Amino acid sequence: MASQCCPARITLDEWTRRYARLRADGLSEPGYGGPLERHVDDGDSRLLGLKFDNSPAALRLWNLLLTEEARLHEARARGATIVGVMKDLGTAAMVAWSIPNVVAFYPDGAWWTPCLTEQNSRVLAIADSLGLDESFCPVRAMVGAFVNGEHFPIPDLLVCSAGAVCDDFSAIAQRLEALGHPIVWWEMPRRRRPDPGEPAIELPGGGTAPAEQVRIVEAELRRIGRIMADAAGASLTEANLVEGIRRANRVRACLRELRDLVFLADPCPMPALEILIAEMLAIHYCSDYDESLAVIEGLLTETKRRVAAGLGVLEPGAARIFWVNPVADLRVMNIVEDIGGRICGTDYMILHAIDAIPEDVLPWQALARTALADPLVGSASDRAERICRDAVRYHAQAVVVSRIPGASHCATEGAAIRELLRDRLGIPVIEIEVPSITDAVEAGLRTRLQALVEAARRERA
Amino acid sequence: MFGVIQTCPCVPVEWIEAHGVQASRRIPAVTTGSSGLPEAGVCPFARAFTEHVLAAGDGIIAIFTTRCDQMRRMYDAVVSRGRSAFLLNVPATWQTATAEQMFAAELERLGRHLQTVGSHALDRERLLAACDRAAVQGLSCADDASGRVRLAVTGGPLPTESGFEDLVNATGARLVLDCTECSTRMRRGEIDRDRLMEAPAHELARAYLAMPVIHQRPNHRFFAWLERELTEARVQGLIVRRYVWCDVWHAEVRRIADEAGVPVLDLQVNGDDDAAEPRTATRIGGFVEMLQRAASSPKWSSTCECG
Repeated sequence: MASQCCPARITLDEWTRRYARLRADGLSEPGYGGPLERHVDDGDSRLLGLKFDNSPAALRLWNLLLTEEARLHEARARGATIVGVMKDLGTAAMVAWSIPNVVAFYPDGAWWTPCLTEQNSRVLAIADSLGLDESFCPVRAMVGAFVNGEHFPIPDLLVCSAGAVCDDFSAIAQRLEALGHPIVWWEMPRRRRPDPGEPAIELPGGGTAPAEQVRIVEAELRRIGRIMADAAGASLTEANLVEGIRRANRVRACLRELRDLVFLADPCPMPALEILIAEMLAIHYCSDYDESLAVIEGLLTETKRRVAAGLGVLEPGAARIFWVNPVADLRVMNIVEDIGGRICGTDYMILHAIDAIPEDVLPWQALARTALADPLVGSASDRAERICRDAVRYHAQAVVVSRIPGASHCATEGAAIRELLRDRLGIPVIEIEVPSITDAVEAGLRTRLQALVEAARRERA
Repeated sequence: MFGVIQTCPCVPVEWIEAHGVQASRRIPAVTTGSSGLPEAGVCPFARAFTEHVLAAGDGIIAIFTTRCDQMRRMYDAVVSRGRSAFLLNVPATWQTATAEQMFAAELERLGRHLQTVGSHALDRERLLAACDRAAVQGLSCADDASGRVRLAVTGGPLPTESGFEDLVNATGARLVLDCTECSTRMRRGEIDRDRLMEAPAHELARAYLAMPVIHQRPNHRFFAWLERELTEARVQGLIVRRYVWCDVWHAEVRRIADEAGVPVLDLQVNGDDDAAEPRTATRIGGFVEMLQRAASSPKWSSTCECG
């Protein structure tokens, strides 16, 4: 059957031909399904330069991702309250999704628009015109998207975390407010280690925080929960929240199982690009909870099949690379695999959206613990410790710290992560910077990654 | 007895003094040099303060704050090098009871920390006296009736050794208003003395949260303050002096230019040493000449000078 051919990474052209065969074989798709090339016609021209997994599960994943804007517009048309949650990447969206008739999404995701449209969307040019030039993180594209209104519908309510957040995002969000988009700000304190004798609470992912900080975050989440519910003309009961947490945990558990299976199997059963996008589904369900769960379950089923059959998309023994920070240009995930590497572990800044939310404590406290577990809210050394644990767990042979151009946290945390990993693990660690479009620097990136792969292979030998 | 050094005006020195510790605000000059700290992407002022801390002798506790990601992460760099430091979580929000509670709890935590290294417990009378006496550093900025172009400056910390005021004077202009992080803008609100005695941490937190600070969310109070003060001081041109890689100020330049009501010079600086001076002087000189021409032209119009 065409649906179960050998796993491979294929181009968009190849997907066009494959799609025709799948349809002829009776492929069943959800309403947002269809051939991938139609998204190029919609402006996502970067797809022409990418390689994709060839499974129907991956097709569904890409179609879900690339139809999100349409889905948001449909939600607006049917009268749902649209909440734009910003920066915290996981928890505030989960609260919003627990409220009846609310659709929540992270406008931060617009940071990939310049990549996908290869800058044809002009969102960065708009940001430039507002004084937010390329010295800022590519998330400045979000402001462009709000100004031209050509992407997502303008949310009915905007909620944004402040405090222990990167400077550029905070400043960009503040500019957005000044441009006429009111924002409800909520405080995210910089997570610290408890002082000796201070009551401490365990967080998902293995860290701890002072009980006092958990109380602060709980109070803030309750406040924004009330505001979001009021905006929706609905109520947010504790029962809603408990159910919301249960649903979130279902997605998270499925995603964790997928990641573990992919990262530990050899040959690599599912490409890095699809796993990156799958991880991102956890933060706001790509504006459709049921479909996100179905997509992740589909990827998991396909991955299990491949692992059981000893099949993979890459050669066995590809150099095992742990990747830190999401890439502004999706193509880099292909490049890693092109030069003999494979991603064996990740910290895409959203681990707190993948770890299980505790269900044995009261829901608001559970969410506060989850929010405080954000790897960027604490120290670089805390983040490095977790990366170290995961790198060991997934048998990483090398680590890449991918700098996001202009991101304030990237200026210093890379050095901290590098030092700790080299000391503890003795494996090669490099920092690279990945802009939104890497075409002009691809040769240099390939060289550096190739050198890392070779160093990893030497260590292994 | 140890001492405390800090650079952020949001650190209540009164609180530190009320624990019997001398607090010293340092605004080191920013020089380009090598210290082993990262440079690319790092605010030069954050790096300079950190270098200053690392060079300080034993018996000094450095207080960093969370007002910007750069400083927050410089605290990590200091601690990783085994130096004694404290990170004061200054809220970005200010409109909620939670913000005041959080800041008050942080002050109490700071007090406990000071006691673990040898200070005494909070002395309320000493706190009151310190509040009465607290002064804010800043540029001299006397009024000027000479007819020279009247300038204001805003932006990040302005070291006194930077020679900035002299540079401005040399162009024939005069600084009549300091709106930087070192100015009277960074003065806490009035203290309610009764509440201070009753709930000292909370009252001090409330007063400090009243500052119109650019990092706050939302930060419209800064803009309201700026507009009022620029008008009152009859400022003709505003210099936004910001450090390279300081996103907090960089992102606001355009808005400042839109709302200030006077021409604005966006002055990005990397340091205060001799290498930087000619460029800074040229930029300011050009701005002043433009203002002088515009002031003498019958078709005067307010423009934004950015870049």
